[in-house]
Amino acid sequence: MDTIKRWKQEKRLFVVWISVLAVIFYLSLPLSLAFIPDKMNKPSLFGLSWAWIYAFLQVLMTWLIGWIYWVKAKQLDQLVERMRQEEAE
Amino acid sequence: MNFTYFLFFVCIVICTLIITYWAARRSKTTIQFYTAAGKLTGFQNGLAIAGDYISAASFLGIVGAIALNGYDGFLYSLGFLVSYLVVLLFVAEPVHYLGNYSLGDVVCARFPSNQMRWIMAIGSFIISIFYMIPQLVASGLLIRLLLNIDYSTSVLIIGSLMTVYVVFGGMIATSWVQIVKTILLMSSTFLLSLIVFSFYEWDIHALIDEVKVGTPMGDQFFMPGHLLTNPLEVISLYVALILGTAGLPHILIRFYTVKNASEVRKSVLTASWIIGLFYVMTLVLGLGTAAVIGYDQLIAADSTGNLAAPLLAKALGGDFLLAFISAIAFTTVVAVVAGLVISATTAFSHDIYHHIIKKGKTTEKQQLRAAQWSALAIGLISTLFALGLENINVTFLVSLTFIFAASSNLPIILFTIYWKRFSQAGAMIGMISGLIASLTLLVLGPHIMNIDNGWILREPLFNLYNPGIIAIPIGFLGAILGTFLFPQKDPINFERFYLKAQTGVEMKERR
Amino acid sequence: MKDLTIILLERIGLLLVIAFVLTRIPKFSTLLYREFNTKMTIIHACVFGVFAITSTHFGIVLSNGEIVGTGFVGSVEPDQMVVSLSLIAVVIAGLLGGPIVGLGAGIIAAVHLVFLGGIGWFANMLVNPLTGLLAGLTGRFFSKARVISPVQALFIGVFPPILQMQLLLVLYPQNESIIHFVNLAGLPLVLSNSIAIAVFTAMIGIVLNEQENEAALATKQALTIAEEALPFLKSGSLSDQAEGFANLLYDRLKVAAISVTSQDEVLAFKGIGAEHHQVGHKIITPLSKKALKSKEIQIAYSKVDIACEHPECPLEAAIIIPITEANDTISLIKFYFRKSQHIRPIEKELAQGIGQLISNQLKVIASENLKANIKDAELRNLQAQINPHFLFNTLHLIATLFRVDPKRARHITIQLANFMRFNLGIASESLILLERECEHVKAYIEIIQARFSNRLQINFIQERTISKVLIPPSTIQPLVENAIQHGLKTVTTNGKIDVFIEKKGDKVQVTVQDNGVGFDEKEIENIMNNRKSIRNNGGIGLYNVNQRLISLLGEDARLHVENLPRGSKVYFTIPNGTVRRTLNEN
Repeated sequence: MDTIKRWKQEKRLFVVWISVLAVIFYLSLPLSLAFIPDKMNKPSLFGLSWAWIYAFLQVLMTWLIGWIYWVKAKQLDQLVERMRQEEAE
Repeated sequence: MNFTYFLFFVCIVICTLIITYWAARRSKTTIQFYTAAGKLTGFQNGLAIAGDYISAASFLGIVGAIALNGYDGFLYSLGFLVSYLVVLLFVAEPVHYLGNYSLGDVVCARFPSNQMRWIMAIGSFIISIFYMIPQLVASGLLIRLLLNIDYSTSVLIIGSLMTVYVVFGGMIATSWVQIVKTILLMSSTFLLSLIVFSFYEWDIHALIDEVKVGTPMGDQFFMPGHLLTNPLEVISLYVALILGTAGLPHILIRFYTVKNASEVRKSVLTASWIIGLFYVMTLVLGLGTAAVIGYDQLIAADSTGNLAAPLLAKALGGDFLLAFISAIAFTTVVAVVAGLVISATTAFSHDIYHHIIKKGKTTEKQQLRAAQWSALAIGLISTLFALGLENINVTFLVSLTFIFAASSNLPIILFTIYWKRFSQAGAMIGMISGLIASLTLLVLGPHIMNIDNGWILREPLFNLYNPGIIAIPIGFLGAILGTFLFPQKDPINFERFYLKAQTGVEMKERR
Repeated sequence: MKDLTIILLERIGLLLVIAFVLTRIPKFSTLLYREFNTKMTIIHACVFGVFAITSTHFGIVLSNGEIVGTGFVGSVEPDQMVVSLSLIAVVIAGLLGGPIVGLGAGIIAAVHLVFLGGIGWFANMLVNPLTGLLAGLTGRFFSKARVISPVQALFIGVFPPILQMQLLLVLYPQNESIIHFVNLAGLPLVLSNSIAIAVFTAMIGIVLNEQENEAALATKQALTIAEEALPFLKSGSLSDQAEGFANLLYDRLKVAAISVTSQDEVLAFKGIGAEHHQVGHKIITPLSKKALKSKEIQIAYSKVDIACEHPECPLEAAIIIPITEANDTISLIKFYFRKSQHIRPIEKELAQGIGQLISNQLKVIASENLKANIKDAELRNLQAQINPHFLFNTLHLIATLFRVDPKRARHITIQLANFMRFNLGIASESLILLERECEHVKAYIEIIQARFSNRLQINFIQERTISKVLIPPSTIQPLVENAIQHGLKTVTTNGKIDVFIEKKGDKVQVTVQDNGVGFDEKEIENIMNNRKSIRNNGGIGLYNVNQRLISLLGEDARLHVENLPRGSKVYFTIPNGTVRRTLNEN
């Protein structure tokens, strides 16, 4: 039973944490485009404006979060495997 | 139609038919027909998901949108990509663990009743059909433009091809057609983007400068705020795109085609990589079109901008390249519609015929036969509809599908998996309120009510093209209210259910 | 465009004719055996690379969209462009041999194209290795079969020219002549390439099919031969077996000659060269010795390998097949050929098959014998349990002793009990520890000693350090019994039997020696090989002990019988330290 509890806690913590992060990150693009368009259009690195940088970052961020989830899920899978064995007993 | 076009076209048709023939010999059981017997690897399934998802509208439409609208066009494509995080984090694995063949299986694992199955089946069915008809119409128009053949002929060809794939080859043929499509699409967009870069001698600044010359917007091209002027519209669109994918049945049933959770994750990740790379490349193509072709010529060819990629190919590589790109666009179309046919078929033959009409008492052979017949019927009916609805407002139907998926399917799936108190009544009310809200808001919105060219020539009552921001909360609220008003009478052991949904571990009944 | 297509198709027709002729050459077909090792990969890459270069020359040269000349590609001017057909060969290489072979062939073709030069040489060069690699990967991805079907190949063949055209466009941007070329040559190349690749795949498929049919035939033949050989294998003498077997093989197979040998000499020879390869010759070839030792098939590809002393021996190649029985090579079968080219993979497979089948047959026969022997042991044991004479005599002895020496009587009773108990348990195991066997023998000796104390002295001498040795149960006792009943039959006083158990190198030797009448010299051979020997005891005796030793511990453990100046000696050796191995196997 302890394994189940531990798995639940870890999973919940991780999912909540990462989805809050993701929601903030993704929604801030349309929000900032809508409310601070001037700042977003200022050129920054490599002659690109912030709007473009942020847009590209969204692509990279999607891959990054996917990868983090993949790694974390691998860890959780070990707990799940333990649970499965405990249930089989 | 010249000979080069014809040859490529025939080549694609033959290839997909070979795949179907090969798959037909492996589609002898129900599980093979519906889910390819779970034999796909995560990577293959990822390719197939991408093939299922990237429609001709994405390939041609987004290149055009970027060429015409610059930054906003790209923003549009980002929403499609980010939506895969929702799928990965919340939906993919539970769907894999809870269901067998259809989306109805997932919800009925918690609320096993005929009403629930009806609701889910109809929901999936409507979404698939409403998504398929505009795809067929759009691709009919597209093929007419590309290959210069009749609208009805092109719809007939695509309609019969998709029906043949699904009826004979089931999920196996569909998956492999989609995989082939993804590989072809990715490699050809990649090479085409390379040609664009090399055209400007690998100098991105030269490309950007040329874009500014080619478009009437000049510097403004690279700034947001053209396609979507209303901030609310931006957010609304974004939300609908991000949440919509996680409610699309033809994407979700793909998670039955792999064998375990790890492969499910791998398929979502593969799909997100491919889709991400694809949209970055469409950006290059879009910029290339703006630079090489220019705004005026593009609008002159087709006012929607859908011909951006073909025009670019023709300018850069002549007829040969154009023919090849057109063939790819054709493959894209058939792969997507085949995926939709199979999801509609599953909803009908598995949920309605097998579970509701026959009460789960059909033999293996009957099930397979029923699935094939319903695939045939669905293929026929949607082809007929598409033939008749040449002038339908395509964007209206596509946004309806996404908003409907996000406001009715998604709340039910999410609450079923994650909310302990959720009740069957809540699910039904949520589904219906989501459907009604999205339909009403769209009808009252500027898609239909439009002073210039709407079905109803008057000022729109509701002034958003994308009503997601209102409709989606209504769906969720409906589900919540329904649950509080009509709580579940005999709740199941939620802990046990939750564990099964998340890990596939079946806890023993202890109490 | 139409002219170009027709010319390209003509050229491809020629190319295919050549390729077809090539596939008909037996040597070429060995190339198609897919052995995945470095050597074969390199050979394949080179062969297809050469083929690709040939295909390049079968292409045409374009200058400003016009076809230059009517012949094959010779030299290319800087303002001309070569339309190469090398991609066909490279794709075939990739599909057939995998990504590495494709890449290799592609690189060879690319190097050649660089030297040819002309417009677009860089793209033409680059596309070859790339295509080879991709074709290999595609073949792996889409098909698990050895050769993909022609229709699939038709589809895959469409893409290499497309890739080539796109590379041309990528590498030579804003170049009108390149775009013109792509429009002109793109479609003809797509058509001709995909057709050629499809036809080619079909052709290779046919060749492979033929080979597979041959292989199937070979397997069938091997099975038939093994079946027909069965009677010979069961028949008695070794030379009869060999003779019959050689005749059978020579009749059935297309070989120049057959020989069958034992471990050290030729037992039978049939076929060409029989006049100087005579029965009874010793085995001298190093390869044969290697085959005997390694138990693996050896192939002699030259006269030197066969090492025939006769200067005009017509035999140039041979396959040497070891036949094993109970982990020992007992015999060699040799297939002789006139030329080394006559040894195709089919022959190797056939040889391998026959070797294995015969070995298996022998194993079956051996296990049948083993079963029979175990039955004998059980029978013997049964008889021992109820051997009335022995029992009554011993009981009588005990009864007598009780009056004279009760203490001794008790001891003998206990020994009798031990002896009987051992006999009861004997049938359950095929091998027991030497210690237990010794207990048994000692109990027997004590009883016998008590009975014949006046006329018989039995010594049991065991080296202390011997332990953990396995032996078939009830092997030593019959030897002692035999010595008493037969060797000392006529001896009334001073009979003496010595039992030695001692280490000899890494083996243990068990000897039973008596000072009786000894064996009839003529009979010694028969005792071992014939049940109906004079000196046996109703079916049980030295013969059975011998058989059990051989079947359970191998030929090395057989009984040896020797006459001494006075009396005789019977001994055998068993491997030391067999315990661990045998226990692990169980």
